[in-house]
This record gives sequence, structure tokens and C-alpha cells, in this order.
Amino acid sequence: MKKFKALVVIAIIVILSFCLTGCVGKEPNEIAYIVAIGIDMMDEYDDYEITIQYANPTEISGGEEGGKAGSSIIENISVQAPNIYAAIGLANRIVSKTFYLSHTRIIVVSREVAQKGLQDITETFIRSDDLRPDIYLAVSLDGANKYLDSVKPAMEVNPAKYYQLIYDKNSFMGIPVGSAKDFFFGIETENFDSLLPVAGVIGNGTDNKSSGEGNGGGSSQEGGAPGGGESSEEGDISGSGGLSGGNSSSEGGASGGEGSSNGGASEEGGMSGAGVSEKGSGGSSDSSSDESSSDENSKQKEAPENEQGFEYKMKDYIGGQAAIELKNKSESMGSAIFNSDKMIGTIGSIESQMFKLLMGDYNYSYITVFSEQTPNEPVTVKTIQGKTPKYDIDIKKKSIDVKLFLEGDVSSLPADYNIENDIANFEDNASKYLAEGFAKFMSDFIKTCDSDIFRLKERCKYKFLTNDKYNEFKESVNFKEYSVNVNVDFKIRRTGLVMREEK
Amino acid sequence: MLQRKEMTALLINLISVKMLLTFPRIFIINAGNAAWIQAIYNTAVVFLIFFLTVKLYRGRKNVIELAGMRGGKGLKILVGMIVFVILLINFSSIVRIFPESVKSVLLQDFKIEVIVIAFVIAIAIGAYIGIQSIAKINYLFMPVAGAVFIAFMLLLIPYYRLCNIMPLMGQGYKAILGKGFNTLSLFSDIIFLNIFLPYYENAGEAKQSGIKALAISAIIAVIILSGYCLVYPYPSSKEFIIPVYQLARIIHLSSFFSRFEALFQFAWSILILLYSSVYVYAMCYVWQITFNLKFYKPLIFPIVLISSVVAMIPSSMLDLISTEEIKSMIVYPTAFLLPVIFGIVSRKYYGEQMRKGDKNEEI
Repeated sequence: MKKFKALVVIAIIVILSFCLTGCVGKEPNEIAYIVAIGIDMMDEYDDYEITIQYANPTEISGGEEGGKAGSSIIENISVQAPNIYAAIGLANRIVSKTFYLSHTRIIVVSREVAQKGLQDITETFIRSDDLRPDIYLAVSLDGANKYLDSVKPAMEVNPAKYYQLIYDKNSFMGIPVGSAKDFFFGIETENFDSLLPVAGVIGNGTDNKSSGEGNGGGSSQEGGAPGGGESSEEGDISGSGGLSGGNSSSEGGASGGEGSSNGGASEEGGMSGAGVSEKGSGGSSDSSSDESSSDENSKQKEAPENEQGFEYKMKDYIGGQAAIELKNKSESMGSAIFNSDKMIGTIGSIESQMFKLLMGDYNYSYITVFSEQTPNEPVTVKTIQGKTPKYDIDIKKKSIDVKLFLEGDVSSLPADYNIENDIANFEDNASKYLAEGFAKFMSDFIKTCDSDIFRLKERCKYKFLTNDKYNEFKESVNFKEYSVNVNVDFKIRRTGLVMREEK
Repeated sequence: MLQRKEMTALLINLISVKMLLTFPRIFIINAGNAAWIQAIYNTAVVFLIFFLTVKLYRGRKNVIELAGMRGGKGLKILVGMIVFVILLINFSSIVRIFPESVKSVLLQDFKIEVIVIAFVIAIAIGAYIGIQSIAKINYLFMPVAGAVFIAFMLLLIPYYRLCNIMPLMGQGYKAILGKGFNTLSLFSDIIFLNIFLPYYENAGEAKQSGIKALAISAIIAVIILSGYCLVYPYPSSKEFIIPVYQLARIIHLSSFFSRFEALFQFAWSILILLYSSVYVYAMCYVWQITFNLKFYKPLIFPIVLISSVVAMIPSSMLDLISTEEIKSMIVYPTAFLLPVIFGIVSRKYYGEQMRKGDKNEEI
């Protein structure tokens, strides 16, 4: 009996040892890891043109010499298919390796796909065990395929890492979080609407011609056609506001009317680009992603300059307008606004940053603040969000009160301005300008856009005891009738390594 | 004989493992984002039932043995079969759900039959080595599982959003109190305390073990449900088949840590293997004492075979999950009522023994 038991144990060990000799399913060298997926509309069919961007392992693993960077680390394949998995099935027949989605970091959709609605796409990733719930979604106004074609990571060996680094930086820069799971929650619960990052292609001179009206900060929910349609002027919410006023209480509707295709920088000093634009960063000129010899990004001229106290003198970029770089022509800036699963407009990088501050998603960044002492040159402050913003929504009075808590370290200022002796005044004024800017942005947005990106409905959940009562409220509430009041508590904590005496 | 702590750990595993599979979804469907309140309510009800049973029950004989002592062979077989069927219903769904889950999340290229066969072989081996070995391994593994669980809940903190748990009463108090009875079946495995009564040194040990196991399992259930409700907003939370796995998938701490489900699956698989081994052993044991058999080991193969066949009856995961609620409605009243009924029987039986002056019978 003992011998029999020993034999059984040996047999089990021998059998199990075979299981340790390799991976279950496919060997790693038989797999092509997809890092990004692009989805464009086909013009003549209901199908999508799906671009699969996958890592080129032979270029990434360079042995002792290290891997390469740039375009060689990724390959793109585009197929026509009704959904992502059908596209992968098709692409598997073309490429020798088998595609796996487990390392996919981003799904980029074109403006047309976003306008049509992303419910089908969210359904795919939420059911999929391969795709992670924290992958990013982004909208490319120039086309998803064009964006993925333009991605040539200059400093990254690992292409998945490139997307992770770019889109994880959302807490520092003017793009929203763009997490696929949050987008899904928004659609599914109907408690809030989402913003997604705008992925753009840095254009050149030819592109400029086709994109005529540019992004601007103008506002239009149902905006121009891709490729540079007509500039829609209705609903522009840039307008009066200016730099005056204390804690801002913005009760009016959209001031409308300015509708400047060039960004809507208001003559009264309104925050340019405060509104929503569906005009985008331009058309889809074929030549825009070319390796042009010109290093000038003509789209940059289209970005309006902000005259409001917050991010004073900064340009309000949207994806494709900001950088001037020769190799990597992709960038991410600004936000696409959604109503449920459908895109209804865009906002620029400054408004995206304001949105993040209003949501408490902000980490830290350098903000330029208007100073009355040096009206022509802004003071740059490294701003940290001290606490999560406090929202007080009064359903009876129909008012929304927001309190923001910001802390700053002075990083840069005009040499002739002695801020140390004017710190209290600077803080008060900065609080005033910031409050006004935030109130205007929020109020104008709520009144002109049919999108609850500030999660106001969700913030009212505390006021109800059961889901039924809350659902009744959700269906009946109209936040356009609510007044918005923003208070900013802005404190300068440090002045860098210098503390100047009074001259 | 088993030590009290080993039995307590075993009971915690038996009650809590269901929370790692599809069970939290039933809570969410019933009460919405107030599922955690429903779990607290269930705990209160189950403690009431438990204390009532303890108050009534006398001796260290389980319900099957008591049935034999009071009603003869016929009643013993009837009660034995009822207990066996309850265990089979509970177990067969695990035999199917676990391999299906493994196929969905781990071994997608494998046939479900292969995974089921591998799984039942493993649990048959577990049952073969006996309850003492299973209980000891389970007791050793519990701290590891506990550490994984605590790490898991801590790593989820960045994803908790208090507004997801609001409105506080979810689908309303009627849903919590009314539909809440279905989810009492979470604690139906407390019947093992009765089945394994002969393994305890005395009734007091069993009572202590039961109280601890129920309390710890209830805490685990409330933590899992509140964690899930805090991360996933209702109604999207009711759409996911395996909520705890869904929670594990969501953990992503920048470049430092992600894909926690690998660690989770390790603890998950071992806990379910131990759970299933206990079930197979218990079914063999019930059959053994019902028919006064000398050995239980020859029963392992047929019982595993019957369980696997019953498990494969639902044609799809969809059918399987839709039958879960019906199963719960059958299982929990029987699992809770049998000890209460035989508690009354034991009271009468031991009362008569006392009157006859049989002092040797332990009470």
C-alpha cells in the first residue's frame, strides 16, 4: 500500500511538472500586444474603420543596447469592422501573431463616432475581461486613425507606457481623467455626464487652410462639421465678466452673441474660450500629419489668448494646437463634452483645468494669475488644491454655492513687483478673479450645455432617502434655473527661496 | 475531535466564500446601494434564529442522529436525505459557478468540462484526506486570506465615493426587509455547525464557535458589500456577475501596482477548493451516518459525479444565475428550520432520558 501511495505521489508530481513548462494558451512570442485602438466612421457604410496599434516587440527589446523609440516601436493596422472584437478577429488573419487586448491603454474615437454615441463601445469594454476598466477614452477631432498615425513616442521605449504617462498626467494639465469606467458609470446611472480628453494632431500650414475657424473658445453645442464646417455662432458663452467683481455670482444666462470663431475673447475682458465649441481644432487635412519640414504649428495661432484672471495671458489650447515638435505630432489638450454617450462639444485646456479644480481632481500645476500691480505680466503660482471643493445645492432656493480651497507657492513674477509687501492684497484680488472666472465658466456652461459634467445631480443624492425619490428629482430638475455662486479661498503659502525687503 | 478555532475558521470559510462569487449581486438586486444595510438586517435575523436554536438544542447529536433516535430508521433516512439534498443544491452551483468564473477570467481557451474535471478531482482529493486535514489547512490559510482581504479593501480606498452609497436606503425599506429574506441563505451553511456537532467537545464549544463564525462572516459580508457599493454606483453595480472580482480589477495605483486580481485569484481558488472539499466530505458524512456505513471514502466518487452532473444541468451561466435565487428560497428555510425543529425534539428526548435517570447521556 505504501509503495502504491508513493507511486501515486510520484505520478502526480511528474504530471504536474509538465504544466510548469510553458504558458497556458499562447507563448509570449506568439502574441501581438495592442496598445491603442482607434475608431473612425466609414463614410459609406455603418461599419467603423478600426485602427489597431500594437507594440513591435523586436524594436522594443533591444538587448544590451536597449530598445528603440519613435515610430518603429509601434505598428498600425486598419480594418473595416462593426466592432472592436470583429476587427481583431479580422486583423488576426492578416498578422502572424495573435492580438491581445490586455495591455491596451487607450481607445481613441473620432468626432463623428463620439457624436453618434459611445454606448456600443462601452458595452464592449465593460464585458471584456481583456480590456482593463481603467483604460482611457479620448476623442480625436482630426480622426482616430490620424491621431494614432501621428503618435511617435520620442522618449519612450514602451508604447503602452507612453499613453499611460501622457494620460495619467491629467491631474497636472488641461485634460480630464478620461477613465472608461467613469464614462460607463455616467451613461449607466444617468447621474452625471462625462468629459473625455481631446487627442489632437499638430497641424501645419496646409491644415490651417482646411480648418478655417479653429477651436476657439466660442461656444456651439451643435457645431461645425468635421474638417472645418461653418463656424456656429449661436450659444457662444464668452462674454462679459471681465476682471472686475468680487466673489462672483453669476445668475444670468449665457451672454451669447460673441461667437467669435477665433476663440471668442470678449472685448469686455471675458474669459476667452469659456464656452463650448464643436468646431474643433480643424479639419482632417491629409497633410496635417505629414513629417513636414516646417516646424511651425499653424493651429497654434487659432488658440485664443485668455484675458481672465485665471490663467491670464495663457492660450486656451485644444488638442493639436499647442506644441511645435517635429517628430511626435500627437498631443492631448482640452475636453470633449458628452451628454450621456454622445459628444456635444469641446472646451479648451483652460476650461478643462477649471473643471478639474471645480471637481477636486486637480493635483498641482503652474497657474498664471492676473495682478493689478503688473497688468501686462502675470504672476505664476504653483497652485495646489488644498481641500476638495465644497458644494451646497439648495433645491428650494435654486442656488449652487461652491467653495474652492487653493494654496499657492509663488514661482515667477515680474522683477519690479514686490509681492512680499502686497501679499494680502494679491491673495484677495486673486481670490476675486478666480471666483469670478469659475462662476462664469460654471454658470455659462450649465445654462448653455445640456450636460451635467459638474455632477450636480449626483451631489443631490444626499438629500434623498430612497432611489425612487432621487430618480423623480433627477427627471424633473433643471439646473439652468439655478444661480451659481463660487467662493475661492486662495492662500499664498511660500514665495520660493526669496523673500524681498521693501525697496 | 477538532479544535474550536479550526471549526470556527471552517465555518467562516463556508459562510463567506459565497460572497466571493455571485452572491453580492443578489443583495444589490434586492436592496440597491443599501445592500450593506440588508446584510446587517440578515445578520440580526440569523443571530435571532441561532440563539433560538441554541436555547432549544440539547446534546451533541446532529439532526440526522436525533431523527434516528426519535423516529427510527425511516425518519433518519428522510432527514438525512433532506440535509443531503440541501448540501447538493448549494454545492452543485459552486461546482459550476467557480469553473465558469475561472474560464471567464483565467482560462479562456480551456473547455469548461476540463476545468470542472480538474476542479472536482482536486476537491475529491481534499475530501479523501478527511475533515481534520481540511480543517487544519483551512485554519493555516485563513490568516493569508485575511491579509489579502485587508490589503484588498485598503487598496480600494482611493476608489471609494461616499455619494455612491446614497440615497442611504437604496431601494427602500420594503425592499430591504421584504426581499431581504432571500439573502438569509448567505448564512445557511451554519447548518454545518449542526452536522459536525459530534466533532465538538461539548455544546458550549459549538455555541461559541457558531457565534464567532456568524459575527466574523457578517462583518466580511458587510465590508464587501459596502466596499462594492462605495466603488460601483447603482444601478451599474447590479450588472456585474462577480462583484468582488470586479473590485479587484479596478485597483490600479499608477505605475506601482495593478492587476490585483492575480493575488485575489490565488486566495479565491484555495478558499473555494477548501470549501468544496468540506462540502464533499459533509455529503459523504451525511450519507454515512444516514445509512450507518462503516467508511465514507467509497462514497466520494459517486457524490462528486452526482454533483458534477447536477452542476452541468443549467445550459448556460445565465440559466445558472437565474436559478440561484430560487435555490436560495428552498435552501435557507430548511437549513434554519431543521435545527430548530430538532432542537425541540432534542429537548424532549433528553428530558425523557433525564427522567429515566440516564446520567451518562451528555446534555
